[in-house]
Amino acid sequence: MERTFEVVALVEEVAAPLGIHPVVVGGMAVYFWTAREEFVTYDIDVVMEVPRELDEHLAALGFSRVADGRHWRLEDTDVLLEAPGAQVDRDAVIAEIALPSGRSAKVLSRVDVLLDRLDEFQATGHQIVGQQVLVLIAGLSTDEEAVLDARAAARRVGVILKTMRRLADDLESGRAHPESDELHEIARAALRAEYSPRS
Amino acid sequence: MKTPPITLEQWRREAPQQRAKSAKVVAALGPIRRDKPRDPVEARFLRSIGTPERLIGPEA
Repeated sequence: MERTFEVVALVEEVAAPLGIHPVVVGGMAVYFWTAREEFVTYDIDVVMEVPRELDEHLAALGFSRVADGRHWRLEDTDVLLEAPGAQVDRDAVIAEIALPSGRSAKVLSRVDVLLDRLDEFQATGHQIVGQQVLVLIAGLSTDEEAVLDARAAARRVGVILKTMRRLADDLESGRAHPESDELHEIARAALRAEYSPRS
Repeated sequence: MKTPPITLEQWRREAPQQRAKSAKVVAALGPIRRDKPRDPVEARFLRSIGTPERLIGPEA
């Protein structure tokens, strides 16, 4: 993980003068906040815009852009960077990681990672995303719970959050793990509740 | 909103406690297998570094 964040910190060094600050999101952010290796893969998702000038800086660092336009491979290494979007949410909280090298890297906060995963799970019902939601919920502090509650309704993930919290509690109490069909139904029901016209 | 920086040393120190918080939930989840489609570029990369297929998942 240290190497991953050092790579992002190097990118930050060349991007910051352009006003661009890469933020680690996705699976690596889930790993950072859960310390759980069960889900982690070593591709790096960052949110940042990549104008031509930054692309040139990345090339100077040794990155080559893949033909799909949104992945960069650091040549002769096992580093793959993906920049899937240009901006994090306006209300997002970004945490800073101070690295032994003296550099720093940015990662989306635990609450924001969870809000994003809730949103994705509600939209897709993917089991792996639902499992990450459950693990992230289990690791929340009391303060984070309060922030999450305050922000979930605005993101239209209040219903799914309530359901997944209950499921996390039930799992801790010994219930069997939910099958894929059950998770899809949970997601569909929450989506209907959030987006159906109110009577 | 600004939060205080987290050092990697701090992260490593707190990781066991963090893992413990989710231990019961993870134990109850059963086998972890990605069902979310994976971008082909990422799938090729992950295979090239020896990532287990269960974490790569189906290709998009």
